[in-house]
Amino acid sequence: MAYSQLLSSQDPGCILILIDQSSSMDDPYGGAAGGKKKTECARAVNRVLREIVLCCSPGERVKDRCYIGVIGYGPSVASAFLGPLTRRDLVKVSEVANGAIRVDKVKQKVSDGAGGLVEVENPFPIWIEEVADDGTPMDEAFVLAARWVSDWISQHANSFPPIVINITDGEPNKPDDTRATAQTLMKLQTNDGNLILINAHISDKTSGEVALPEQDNNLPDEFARLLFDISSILPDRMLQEAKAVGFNPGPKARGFVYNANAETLIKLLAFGSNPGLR
Amino acid sequence: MPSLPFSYRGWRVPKAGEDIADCQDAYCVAEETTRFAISDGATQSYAADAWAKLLVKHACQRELPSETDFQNWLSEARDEWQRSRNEQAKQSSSWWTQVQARDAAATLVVGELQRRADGVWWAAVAVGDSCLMHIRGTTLTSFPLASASEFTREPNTILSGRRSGSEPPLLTGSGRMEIDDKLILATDALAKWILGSQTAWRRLLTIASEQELAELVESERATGRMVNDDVAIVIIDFSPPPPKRQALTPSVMTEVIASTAPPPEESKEQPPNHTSVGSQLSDRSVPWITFLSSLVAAALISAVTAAMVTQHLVSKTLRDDNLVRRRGAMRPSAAPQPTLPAAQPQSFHVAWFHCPSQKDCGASAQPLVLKQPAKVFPKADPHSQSSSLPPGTYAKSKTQPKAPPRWIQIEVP
Repeated sequence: MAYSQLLSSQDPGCILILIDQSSSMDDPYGGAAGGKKKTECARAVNRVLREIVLCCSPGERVKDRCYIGVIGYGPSVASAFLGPLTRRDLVKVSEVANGAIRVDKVKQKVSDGAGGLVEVENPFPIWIEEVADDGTPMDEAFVLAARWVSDWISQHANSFPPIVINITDGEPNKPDDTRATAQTLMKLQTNDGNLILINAHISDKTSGEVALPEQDNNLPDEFARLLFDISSILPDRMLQEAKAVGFNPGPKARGFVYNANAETLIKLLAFGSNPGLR
Repeated sequence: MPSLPFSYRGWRVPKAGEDIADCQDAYCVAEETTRFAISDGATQSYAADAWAKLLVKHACQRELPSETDFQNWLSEARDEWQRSRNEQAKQSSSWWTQVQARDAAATLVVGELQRRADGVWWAAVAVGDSCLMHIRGTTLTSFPLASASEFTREPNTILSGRRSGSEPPLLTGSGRMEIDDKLILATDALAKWILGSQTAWRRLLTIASEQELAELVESERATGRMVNDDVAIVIIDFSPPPPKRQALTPSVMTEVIASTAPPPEESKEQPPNHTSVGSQLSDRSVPWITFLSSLVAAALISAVTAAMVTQHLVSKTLRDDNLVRRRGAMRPSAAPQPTLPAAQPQSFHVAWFHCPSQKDCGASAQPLVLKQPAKVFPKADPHSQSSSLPPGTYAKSKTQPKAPPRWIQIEVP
C-alpha cells in the first residue's frame, strides 16, 4: 500500500515548502529569468500555490484535498504566509484560495469561441513576498517542519505522506544539525509511507546542473552531498510525475536538484507538489 | 424502421469522502438513436465535470464521429464550452474561476447500435481509457484497452481548448451483437477493476441500483482492488422486448435458428438444441422479430453460407482480441417451455435532458432541473403503456400519440 493513496477530501495530502530567505537570496539568479533569486523563488512558490488551488477547484467550490504550508528561514524561522494567513502553519487549500495578500491581474488574449480573440485578465494571487536577510538556519526550519507535520499526521494517518520541498541557495549555518534534523523529519510517516523530502538547490551558475540523481558521484562538494543524503528516493508515482514534466529520472532517483535554474525549479515544484491531485 | 431493442442502466459513484455532486464522470444514453457515451473528467483539470457532461451531450446529439471529421466534431463542442466559460468568468468573483486558458480534460467513449446487412453491430470511438466492453455468454472483450495492465496515469484526454500539437488519436472499434449480448461502458477505475479479474463483470451485471454499486465500489476500494476514483457505468442489455407468451411456432424457430446459427468451429460447444434462443423470441410482432424477419429472405437464399461467414467473422473478431478470456457455451441450455422469467424490478438514477426536438437539443439545451432529488424508481417497461410514472420522472413511451419528445439521459446532480 506504500504511496498508493490519492489526495482526496477524505484523505487529504500535505505539501510543505521551506524557502531560504537568507541574505544571499538577494543575488542574481542564473538562467533566462534574470531576476534576483529571492524574486524568482517567491514567484515560483506563488505560482505553485496557484496551481495547487486550481488543481483542487474543479468549479466554484475548492475541495480540501490537501493542506499547504510555507516556512521561511533567514532572519526568522516561521510561516512565510502574509496577509490573511499571516503566522498560519498548515492550512486547507480552500483557506489558501481565499487567503492571498492580493490578486494581481495579467492581461491575456484568449479565444472567444467564435473564431476571434477576446482580452481577459488572468488572476495571479500573491501569498508570499520576497525576503533576503541574515543567515541560513536550515536546521531550525526542519525542526519546525517536523513539528507541523507531526501534528498533521496524527490527524491524517491514512493519507499520502507529507511532501516537504526545501528551496535553498547556500550552505546551512549548522551542517551537522541540519543533517540530523532532516533525518528526523524523513522518519515521519503515515500508513501510506514515509515523508518525502525534496531539496532544490538554486544557483546563479548556468552550468553544472544535476537533476534527480541516483548517486552522489557527480556532486562537487560536501554541501551538495549533504543535500543529496537528506533527499528522499522518489516513489514510483512521483517518478511518473517527474517524467511528465520533462525530467528523466532513474528508478532510484532522489528528489534533489543542484545548481538548478529557474525553469528546473518550477518543474521540480510542479511534480513535487502533485503526488496525486490528478 | 423499428427501434432496436435494448434496455440500459446507468449509475455514478463519487470518490470516497466526496459527494455525488463532486463526481466528474458523466454518461448519456439516447434511446431513439441507440447511442450512448461515457466520459471521465480529469480530476485535476478545471470544471472537468462540466466538460465531461458537455462531451456526452454532444455525443448523444450528433452522429458518431469518424477520424476524418473528429476535428469538426471537437470544434463545435469546444466553441460551446468557450462561450459558457467566458460567460461564467464574467459572473464569478472567485479568482480561480476567472482563470482563462485553463483547459478541462476528459476521456470519451461513444458507441451506438447499428443495423447492418449482416445483423446488428456496436460501433464505437474512443479517446483515453474509458472502456466499452462487449459480453457474450462467458466471453468479454474490451475496447479500447484490452487488459488491466494497459491503464496508465496519463491517459489520452480531450482538452476543452485547442491543442497546439496534434490531437490524441480517435480509436475505433466494432463488434456484432447477438441477442442477450451486453455492453458495459465504464470509466477507468471500474474498467481496470473489471479487467483485473475473471469474475468481476459477472458480479457487476447483478447490480440493480446505484446504492448496490456504491456498496460494491466501497468494499473493493477498501481492499485496494479498486482505485479511489469517480466511477460511472452504463450497462446496455441487447435483448428482445417482453414476450406476449405466445406459443413458439415452427416457422419462427426456423427463422431464429437460421439467423443465429453458431459458428461452425464452435458447434461442438453448443447445446444441441437451439430452441432456447427461439424461446426468447416468441412474438413475431415485436421490433426485433420484425427486423429478423427482414433478414430471412437473404438467409433463405444462402442461409448456410451467410450464417457461416457471419459467425466466422464474429468468432474471428473474438479470437483476435487478446481479451477473450474463455470461450464457453454461447447460449444457455434449452428451456422446455418458451417462457421468459418475470421482469425483475430494476432501479436507476435519473435526471434528464429534455429535447423536444433535435433542434431544441442543441447548444442551448439546459438540464431539466427536477424540483426534488432524482428519483430511484422501478424501471418501467418501455413497451408497455405505463400511465403512472412517479412524479418528477420521465420515460419515453413508444405509444405516445404525437411528436414523441426526444429524451436524452444525462447524469447530472
